[in-house]
Amino acid sequence: MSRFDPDRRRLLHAAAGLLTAGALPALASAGPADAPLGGPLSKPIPSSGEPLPTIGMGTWITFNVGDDPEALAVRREVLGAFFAGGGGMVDSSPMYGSAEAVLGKTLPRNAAQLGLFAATKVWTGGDGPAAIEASRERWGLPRFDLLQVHNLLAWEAHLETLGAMRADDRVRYIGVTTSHGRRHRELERVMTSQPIDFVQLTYNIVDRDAEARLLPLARERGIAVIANRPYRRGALPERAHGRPLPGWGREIGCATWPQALLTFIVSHPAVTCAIPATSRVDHMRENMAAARGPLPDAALRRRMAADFAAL
Amino acid sequence: MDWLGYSPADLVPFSRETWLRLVADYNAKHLPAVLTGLGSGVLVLWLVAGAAAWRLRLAEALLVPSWLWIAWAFLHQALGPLLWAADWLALGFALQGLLLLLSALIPLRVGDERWRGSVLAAWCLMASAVVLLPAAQLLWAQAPAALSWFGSAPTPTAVATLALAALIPGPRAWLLLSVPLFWCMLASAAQGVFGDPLWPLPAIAAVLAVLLRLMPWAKRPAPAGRP
Repeated sequence: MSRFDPDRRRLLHAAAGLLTAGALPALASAGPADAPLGGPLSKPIPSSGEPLPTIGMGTWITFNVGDDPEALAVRREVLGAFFAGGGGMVDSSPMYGSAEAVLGKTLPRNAAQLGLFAATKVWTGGDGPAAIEASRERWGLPRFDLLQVHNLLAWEAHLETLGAMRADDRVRYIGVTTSHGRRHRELERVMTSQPIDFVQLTYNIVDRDAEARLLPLARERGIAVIANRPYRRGALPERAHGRPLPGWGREIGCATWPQALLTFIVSHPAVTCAIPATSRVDHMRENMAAARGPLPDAALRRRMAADFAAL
Repeated sequence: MDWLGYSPADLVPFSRETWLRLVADYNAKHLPAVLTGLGSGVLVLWLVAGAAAWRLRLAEALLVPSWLWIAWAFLHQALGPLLWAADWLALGFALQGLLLLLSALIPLRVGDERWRGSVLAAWCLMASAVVLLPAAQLLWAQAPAALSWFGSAPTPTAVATLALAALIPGPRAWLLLSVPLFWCMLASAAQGVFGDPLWPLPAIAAVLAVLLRLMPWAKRPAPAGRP
């Protein structure tokens, strides 16, 4: 039986669903003392059951710094804080300028042992395998954990390539991405018809279009969800800047609005992880302290959204 | 790829801090080119102050090395690793260099139709590119090492070229205006994404250059008695 046999996928998905559904009420009643040690909460990847930390990191803009030695040194520190905080998924793309090459220069040598889950994207209308190999060389890794078709560009051809790579164990997971709420109908078609493991889309406390159809579909199809633009490129924390967190912050183990924003995202049952991007060590530490307490339930999520909207 | 669905913020894959560090690093690495460019800017200002055709053609010729240098050293080498479209922009700048060279080689007929006011306005626009743009950046607390200079940086070079092209008679001027107009709009959009307070300046320069080219007051009125 191949690793991605549909029957095995459905069985694993059901098991993952039970695990998550069973865990969440317990987590909802658990206090900070029950928070996972060494990192944020992990959620299982539905297609395999593998646990993935819910707080990952993105590299759009923040890691596109070329050869600047000072900027590279800061990125090494940012990655250090990420892994020290229990981080897993690092997401990038060849579209992000020099970000992949910067990762190649700044990831610790033992990143895999530290928990690195390397995710990048195929972004070409042309030769997918060549583009993937170029990305792999830039990262300096033997293989990727996750390869995604960036913004659905030429997804039919690329998913065929990625599927073959997965079957050969040259990549562990495959997926597709969109952002800014674009191309959701096409995304839904892909999620319905293709055997993908991950989907990446924009989801945060104000951009919640995905709740209507895509997130439930992801749960139904056993597809992990990565939430990009968790902070809308800094606009959401900026809006909350200087405002104290309401009392419910303590209930969910959050001390700041950015932590609450991330916790909100990953508290959705269908979301597997969020990928905030930062170039600052202090912000990375703040991000990695999110999602360590009990996750908010539906009622608290509504309060959180209402309180944020009122800011 | 649904390009129309993208905003400027989606197409600028680096921060303002990274941009300024790039400019500072470029200036330090290519200081002779920066100084040469600045020197050529002073010379171009002197040339454009006069009305003769040879002055305009020589000014065009002086701009050629700047456009070619910026295409190679700034856009391709410095910006290339950070921006996937940089090589396309470099091609555009190289093309502009070639157009200026061609225009410099082709004789020009400058008649009396240019009104002194238009020459003065164009000269002021050019002076703003050489002097006022860097001064404005300094005033807005930008580090001196990261200032953009005429002759070695794209935006002041484009603004100065707009001013010169606005003075060139005939349809060739529109060819010479095209690339700098495009760059100035792009620069304003990118600076807007960065939250740079000076973001409107390149776009304003572009609009002024087009107005200079189009406005009827730019032409000397016909003397009384003549049709």
